[in-house]
Parts: sequence; C-alpha cells; structure tokens
Amino acid sequence: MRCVKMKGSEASGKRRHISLLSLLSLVMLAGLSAALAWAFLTPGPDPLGLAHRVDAALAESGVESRVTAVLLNYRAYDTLLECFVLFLGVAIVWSLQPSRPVRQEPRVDPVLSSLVRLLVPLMVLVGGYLLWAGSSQAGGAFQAGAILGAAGVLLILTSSRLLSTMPKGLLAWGICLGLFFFLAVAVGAVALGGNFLEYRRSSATMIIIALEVVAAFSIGLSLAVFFGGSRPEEPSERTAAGRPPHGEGEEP
Amino acid sequence: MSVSPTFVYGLTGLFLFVVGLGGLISCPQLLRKILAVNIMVSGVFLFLVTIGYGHGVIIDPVPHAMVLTGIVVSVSGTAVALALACRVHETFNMSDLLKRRTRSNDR
Amino acid sequence: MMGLLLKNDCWLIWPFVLPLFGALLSFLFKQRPRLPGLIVALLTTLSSGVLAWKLVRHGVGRYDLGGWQPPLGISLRGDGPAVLMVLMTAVTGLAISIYAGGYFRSRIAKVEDERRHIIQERFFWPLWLLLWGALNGLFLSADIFNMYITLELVALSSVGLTVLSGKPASQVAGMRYLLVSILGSLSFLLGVGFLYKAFGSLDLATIQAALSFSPPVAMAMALISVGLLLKSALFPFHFWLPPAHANALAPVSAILSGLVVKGSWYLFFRFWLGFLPLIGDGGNAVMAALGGAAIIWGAFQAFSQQRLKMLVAYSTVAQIGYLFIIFPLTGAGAGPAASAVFYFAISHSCAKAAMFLAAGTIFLQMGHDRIRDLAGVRQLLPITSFAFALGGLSLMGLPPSGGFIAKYMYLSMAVSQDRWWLVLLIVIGSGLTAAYIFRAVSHILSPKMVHGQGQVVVAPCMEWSALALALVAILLGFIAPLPLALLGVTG
Repeated sequence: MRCVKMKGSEASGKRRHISLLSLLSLVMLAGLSAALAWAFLTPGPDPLGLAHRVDAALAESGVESRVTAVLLNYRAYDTLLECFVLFLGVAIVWSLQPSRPVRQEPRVDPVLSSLVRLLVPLMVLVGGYLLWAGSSQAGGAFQAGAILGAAGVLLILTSSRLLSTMPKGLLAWGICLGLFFFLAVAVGAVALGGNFLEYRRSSATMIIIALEVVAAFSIGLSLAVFFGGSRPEEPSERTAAGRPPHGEGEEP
Repeated sequence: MSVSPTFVYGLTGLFLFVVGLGGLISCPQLLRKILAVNIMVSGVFLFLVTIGYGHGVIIDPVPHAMVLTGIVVSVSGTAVALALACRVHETFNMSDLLKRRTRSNDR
Repeated sequence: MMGLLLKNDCWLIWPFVLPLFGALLSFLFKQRPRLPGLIVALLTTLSSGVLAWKLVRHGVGRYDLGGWQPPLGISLRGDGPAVLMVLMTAVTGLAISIYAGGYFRSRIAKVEDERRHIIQERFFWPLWLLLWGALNGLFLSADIFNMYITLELVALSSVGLTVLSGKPASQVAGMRYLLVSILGSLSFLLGVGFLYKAFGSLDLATIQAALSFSPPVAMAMALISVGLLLKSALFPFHFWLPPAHANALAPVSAILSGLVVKGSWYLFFRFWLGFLPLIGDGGNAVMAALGGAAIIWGAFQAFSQQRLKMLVAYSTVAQIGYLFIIFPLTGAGAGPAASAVFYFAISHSCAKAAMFLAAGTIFLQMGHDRIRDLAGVRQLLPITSFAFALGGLSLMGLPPSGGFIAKYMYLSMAVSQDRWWLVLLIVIGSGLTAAYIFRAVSHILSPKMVHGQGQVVVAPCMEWSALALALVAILLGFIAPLPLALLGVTG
C-alpha cells in the first residue's frame, strides 16, 4: 500500500487518477478487514474441534506427539501430497532454468569454509535430534528437513561446484526416493489387506519414524535444490550452454 | 469482555492477510508481489494457529498440522515464483523485479 | 495378493496413485520419458473406466484413507459427479497424451533447436501426470483441507506446463497465472480456516450436515467462492486465462482449457450446492449475471481475435459462463440442474480439447496461426480441419452433439421455470458462438488452393487423436442416457 501512497502524493494529471484508484482500493481493503474482523469476533458456534478425538486415538497411532500423529497417521495422505508438491516445485524450477553451474566464480574464503566444516555436522546432528524428538514432543520431519536444507544451502554457498560435480542423476534419484518409499508404504498397506496408508498397530511406530526420516531427507534436499535454482549440469548440455534458450516468434 | 491474546493474534493474522493483498494489488514489481503473497500466507497461518488455541484447555493439533503442511506448500510456490520471476527478468531484462538493473547477460 | 489390491473400494485410489507413480518414473527416465508416460496414461484411463463401472454396479464408493474415519481422517468419496469428472479427465487425458507423444516426436524431428524440445518433453510428462493425479484427487476428495492441497498441486503443475514453451509471452502469462492461483488458493485456505472454526471438522459432509448461518460461515463461503472463481476464470476474473492458454504448447493448451478449469469449477459447484440453503436467490442471480457477462464478452472478444489459439482461448472464457448460469435453475431441485451442467462440462471438455489440439497441429504445420492466412489447411490437414469443425459444432450446440443435449436440457429447464431471460441469453450466446466458429472455420475450410506449402510435418497420431476427441463430443449426443445414469448415482 505504501507504494501507492507515494505515487498518489505526486499531483500530475495521470498521478491524480492513480491516487483516486488507490483511494478506492484502500477503502475496499479497509472494508475487507472490517468484514474479516466482524466474522472473527462475532460469537458463532464454538465446536470443540478434533482435539479430543486425536487424544482418544493417540494410543493406536504409534506415536506420543499429537501433531506427528495427525501429520503422519491420521492425515498422512495430506503429507504424501505435500511431498509431491515439493517434487513438483523441483521439477518446475529445473524446467525453467537453463542448466549452468550455480556459481561460476570460485569462492575461497577460509573463515567461511572452516566455519561450514564445523557447522554442517552439527546441523545434521540437530536435524537428527529434532526427528527423534518429533515422536514424543515438538519437532518432527519438517523442522528437521528445514535444518538439513539450511545445511545444504551452506554447502552450496561454499563449495561452488557441489551440485555440478555430483554423479549424474543422483540428485533426481535422491528426490524421488522418499516419494517412492512413501507410495510403497501406502500401497503396501493395501496389499496387506488394510486401507491406503493404514499401518498395523505393532509396526506403526517403526513406519512413522521411517517415513519421518524419508520426509525430512526429501524436504531438506528439495529446499537446497530450490536454493541452487538450476538444473544440475549434464555432460551433454555443456556444449549447448551458450545457446539462447528460446527463439523469438517461434512456434509455442 | 477482556481481550484475550487469541483475539489479538487472530486479528493480526487477518490484518496481515489484508496488508499482503493490498501489496499484491498495488506494487508493480514482481519481487514485491511475491513478498506480498508471503505476507498473506503468514497471516493465514497465524489465523489458523489461533483457531487451534481457541479453547485454551486442550490445544487442537489439527490446525497446527495444517500450518506445517501449508508452510511446505507455500515454500514450494515461492520457489517456483522466484525462479519464474528470474526467468521473466532475464528475458525482458527489465528492472521491475527489483528497483535496480542487474547483469544484462550472465552467460 | 492381487485380489486384495483390486478390492471394490480400492478402485478409488488408483486414478490418483497411478499418475503420481508415473510422474516419478517419467522424471527419472529422462532419456525416454514418453514410454512410461504413455503406459501410465493408458493404465490410469483403464482404472478410471473400471471405477465408473464399479460405481454403476455397487453404488457410491467411500474410502477411509489410513483406516481413520472422518472427521479424524481423510476420506475419498466417489459419487456420480465425481466419477464422471474422473472419467472425463481420463478420456480427454488419454487423447492428449497420445497427441503429445506425436507432437514432441514431430518437433524433435526438426533439426534446429532439437535440444530445447527434448528438454520440454522431459518435463512435460512428469508435470502432466502429476496434474492428472492431482485433478483425480481433487474430484474424489471429501476433505476441505485436502482439497486445498490438491488445488495447489493442480495450480502449480498448470503453471509449470504453461511456461514450458519458454516463449516470453508465456512466461509473463505464467507469472500472472501463478500469482492469481496463489491468491485464489490462499483465499480458499482462509475460508477453510473459518469453516474449521465454525464446525470443528474438515469433512465436507460433516460440515454440510451441521450447517447453520453465522458470520464466520458467511465469510468462509465468500472467501472460498472468490478463491475458486479466480481460479475458474469467471468474468471479470478471466483476465489471466487467454494469454496463458493461448501461448502454451499445444497439448498444454488443451489440458488447461479442457480439464484444469473444470477442477476449480467442480469444487465451486459442490460447495455452492451444499451451502444452497444459506445462499438464496441473490447469490444465484449474481452468479448467473457474471456467467451471462462472460458468455457475451468472451464471444465478442473471440470474434475479434486475429490468432486461432487466442480465439479458442476466448471461447473458453465464454463457455465458462454456461457453467455458472445454471445456478438460478437449481431452485427446483439440484438433480436436473446438475445433470445439465455436468453434461455441458464433459462435452465442452472433449470439444475444446479437440479444438486446441487441432489448432496446435495447424500451428505446427503452418508455422503460424493467423486466421486470415489459414487457407490451404484443408488440403494439407483434412483430418485436423474436420476435427476442428466438429468440435465447433458441439460448442455451438448444434444437433447431434453433446453440446446440443446440454443446451437442450438448459433450455427446457429455463422454460419450465419461466426464466425467459436465461432462454434469451442461451440463444444469443449460441448465435455468437456460431459467429466466431464460422469465422475460423470459413478460413480453415476455404477451397482456395495454395501451392508450395511443402511437406506435412505432423505425425498422424496428432491428427487422429484430435479427431477422436471431437467424435466423442459428437457421440455424447447419442449416448446421453449413459453419462446421465452415471451422474444419477448419488447418496
């Protein structure tokens, strides 16, 4: 809104038009906030929510943490789809960018690289702890994945050719591996006579922890890849690197 | 009626949603639009978290899980938006993404 | 073990599990993504067909994912409308997949810029299969938060497909599409939050059973409606649609116009019908007014376009209007109105996809799609020209076609309920549709001989898949009882 106001204060013919428009949008936004606040503050039906149901079924879920139980047992289908959203993001980002190394200029900063050498193992450790803690208290795959992703970002920042020197296709397999595992667990439950994503009570804890490890790995890797921004360079593409990615007026 | 913290958080969330919406509509720069969307996202998440704390006695974990799922979804969306914005920026070499001209040709 | 995998209710999961699996496979086999893509497309179509058959035999399917019953868990619900949409996606999707196979082969065969086409195909298959799976998940979902995630999956993969062509125009259109989509999703999510606050459940059926008016519910309904309208591109929210649809790759245009728009519309229809007691005549009239404006405005814009793909894209803007003018007619019972509008949706999906595929073939052959210079297409691509004309026939609503049956149902309902302005609107809309279709077809089918056009460069399967879809759109005029029987399975 600030940028509209700045424009509106300049009084030329066209600018005045803009300020009228911005005034109108300000009024509409104010109306929207009032309506939202009214809807939020009026006492309506006040249901209990699902908390008591979650608690009642907690003993069967295989974990002690309520949030983890919701994420990876009761509503595990949402989590499965969410991992696919990450995969989708990676696919789109790779499809958009011409492949090239993340940073051309080699960075040799001794302080940074020795700091990273210290930090990355620590971050992996913290990520592992969060993962483990997630079954009984706050923590879990997402928090661990975020930390792992941050570690990946640090690595990309300091060792410039990390992504490009990886074995070909390894990154793609790494991203897909977790999803394959998740799908296999889901369909495997059907094959064993249960419902999609239904775990046996005896093995629920094991499965949830395995899924958490996989999800954290997949989230961390995807986040690092998002930061990297471009598709890892492939040998066949090196020759084509100088070519413009598209031609004007070409067939769509 | 005493003002409980829940109301404050909920109203703040809704207000952030509106602020983000205003930014999305009025800012011409792509990067600002993406930031505005992220402000809206934060507002929605704050609101969702507030719902879970509505009763104060037992905290409802379902909105909590919804927010965690939503964060990952929105991270993905932001990543795609930024990558696409970079692409648009490179193609048109335009200064709208940020208020500065970046490298015209980096290949 | 196979028997367990194929249990009755299990069929509800395969239409989204198979494409998700296929997306991963085609992403990994980047040297030849076409093979897993086509195989999975075929399997998904088969499983959707079996799902429809099971629905007719055994009635509405319900499936509790993870074995947890709602409201704690998420459930899938395969009733008549949902399964019909899955089936529509399967038929249209299979034809588009076959077309895409030939399309990329033809383009890669062109020597210049071969690498770019290979990369386009490499990412087309994962994105398209993910989109297919997400659409099926959306149609079958019974949980409002799960709907939000599938909506996001659909939106992101559509954007990815839109910008795949790499053209500057498609990048700008894709950026706008992405921002609009995210805005729509967020509005939807905030609405979901308000609904959860009011009802303490995310299961749509539970919510609708406990329905009562209160300010949070009204706000939720408004937020969800606006979010879904933005995504369905109803006038005046249509601004992002034509450039995004017209500048994409040919199979992508067909996917976006034929299928993606229907996803958010389907959700809107479901919410709106469920909340009908709270909405009343005022809301229905607003929807009908917007729909009417879309029909008129879209048709005029389509008529004035210079490019074939833009014409077809604006035609989508107009046809979306028909999906919304149904709401005033739901007053006398939702059943007949739902039949009419779903029939319209499936015939539009087939016809529009066929037209976009045909337009893409013409573009690939001629190297342009300026309507004025399309003379001679008939001699080079007779099958494609025929497919385009047949698709247009169904859009106009001429008998015998699926579009005719749908419009006939609309008109008979409007007459019996004394809504004469709706009758007038539908008649005017059909006239305008005929005008812009004739404008395009007259150039495509013009008998003028053009020499030196050169070799036909398109693969035969591109021509035949477009024709097959157009024929399905016509065939829907003859087999009306079958889809209507499928639709009737509710409760």
